[in-house]
Amino acid sequence: MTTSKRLNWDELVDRHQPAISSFIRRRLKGSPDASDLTQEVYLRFLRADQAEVIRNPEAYLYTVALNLIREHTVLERRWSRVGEGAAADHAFTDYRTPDDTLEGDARRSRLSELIEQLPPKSRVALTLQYRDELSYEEIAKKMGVTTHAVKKYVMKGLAICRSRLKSEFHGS
Amino acid sequence: MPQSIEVRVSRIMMNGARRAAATEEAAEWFAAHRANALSEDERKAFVAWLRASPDHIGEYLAFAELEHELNAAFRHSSVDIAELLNRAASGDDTPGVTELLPHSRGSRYSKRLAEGTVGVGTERTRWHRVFMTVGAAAAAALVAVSLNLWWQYTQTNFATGHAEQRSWRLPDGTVVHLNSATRIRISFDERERRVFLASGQATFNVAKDAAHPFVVRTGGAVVRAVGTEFDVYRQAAGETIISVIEGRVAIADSSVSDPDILTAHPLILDVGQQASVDSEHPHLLNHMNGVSRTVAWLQNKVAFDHDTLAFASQELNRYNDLQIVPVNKEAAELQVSGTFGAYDGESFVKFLEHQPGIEVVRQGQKILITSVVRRQ
Repeated sequence: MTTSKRLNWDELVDRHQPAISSFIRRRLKGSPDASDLTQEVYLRFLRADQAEVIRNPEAYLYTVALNLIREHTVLERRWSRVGEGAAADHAFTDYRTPDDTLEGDARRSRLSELIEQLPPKSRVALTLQYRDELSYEEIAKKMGVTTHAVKKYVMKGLAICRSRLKSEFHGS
Repeated sequence: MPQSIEVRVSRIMMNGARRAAATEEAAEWFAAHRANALSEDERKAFVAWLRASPDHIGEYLAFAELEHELNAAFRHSSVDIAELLNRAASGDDTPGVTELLPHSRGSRYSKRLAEGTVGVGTERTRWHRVFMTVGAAAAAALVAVSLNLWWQYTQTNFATGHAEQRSWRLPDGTVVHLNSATRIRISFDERERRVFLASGQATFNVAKDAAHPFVVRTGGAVVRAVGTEFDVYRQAAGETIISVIEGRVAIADSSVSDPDILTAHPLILDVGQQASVDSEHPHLLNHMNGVSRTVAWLQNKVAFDHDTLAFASQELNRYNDLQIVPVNKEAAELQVSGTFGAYDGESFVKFLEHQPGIEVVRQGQKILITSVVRRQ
């Protein structure tokens, strides 16, 4: 059950990673249309049929986000195609964070550092989860703790990485 | 007095604390999803949390992004788990860092932070400071970026070709629809959103932004809108027709400079009203259903109501390769009523062919219309 759910999700992310990634990155960078994007995801989520949402809220959320990204990509492509001459092209493609790759590299190496500095238990849990792809039960067995404890370690590890990256890369 | 100031400060700071709480809660939900399949009650609670704030949605999606980054980061990790486990078992777990600030203490800490009474010695406060800064930085970054964009978008042109219609969303959120053979230039800066309609017809669904008035100029007219939808049609003959679909606009002739429009006794147009500006001052038009006819193009339609064939053919020719040409004066003055598909010039020609007293001759794409009955 857990495994199949994870697989679905991983598949979804892998397939759409660049889109989600740039979606999030732009949101993080505080670019104006990105905050609108989050807002729009939120509104669509509110408008959605509740029974449908509750069946699998996480998948629903990602689907809404992905659809929105797709719409925006279409819009952007139209923007960048338009207009007479270079001025328009320039204006409409430029805002797409030209330093995306540079910043991506910086984020990656910073994340590796952050992982090394994590409290060992969190680091073990995250390594077993993401490198060895073990379930929480398997991780719990290996670490000799309860699955509840594993969840706590994972959560702490995630929160630390997220908060540090957020504060260090926001709007930079 | 000082009391109210204090209240305001602590409320602003609470937002930072709430943001920090959102990060923690998102992490918790995210981990929970990977621990077990959630029960229905848990899923309901999760949905309620997501619905509580766009920030929650944003944070949760951020963890989705982080997870992908972690997958990549761990792919080549060769860390020795056994050794790590040993270190963990021997209690060498850095304390403090893992201890996130309890949400309920946010406001107290915030207040002390605001008062400068909190030191930076402990991990706890350091965490909190990080969260605080993020909130402020987010706001600052947003302002900075949007300011940058206003500058960036100066002097951008949009154009459509013959029989082409397109819509764009401008950086401020305004949606602009360009009808056939239209050229506009937008110049946004920190004071104003200016649009110059060089030719053709455009409808603007203006995003509300009172700080940056939205002003459209044609050769002859200045139209200023505040959160509204209106259409400006610069006709080949030199006349400009302004139609208000929603809200209100102020119109002046082009001798009035932008900031003065509202004080220069402009013509105020309300919903459903139309005005014409030629070489003279703007004046109201009193056509029945004038607005809906003028903006029928938004539905890819053209609508006529006792209009001359000269006008109707000119309108249809904007959208079609076939060009309808009234040959004699009588044909040009024929009256046409009805709604037609803008891109369906052929149907319009068929309609004419079925009218008595009209002769239709096809010369390739050219459709010659002759009135063979003397009028009157």
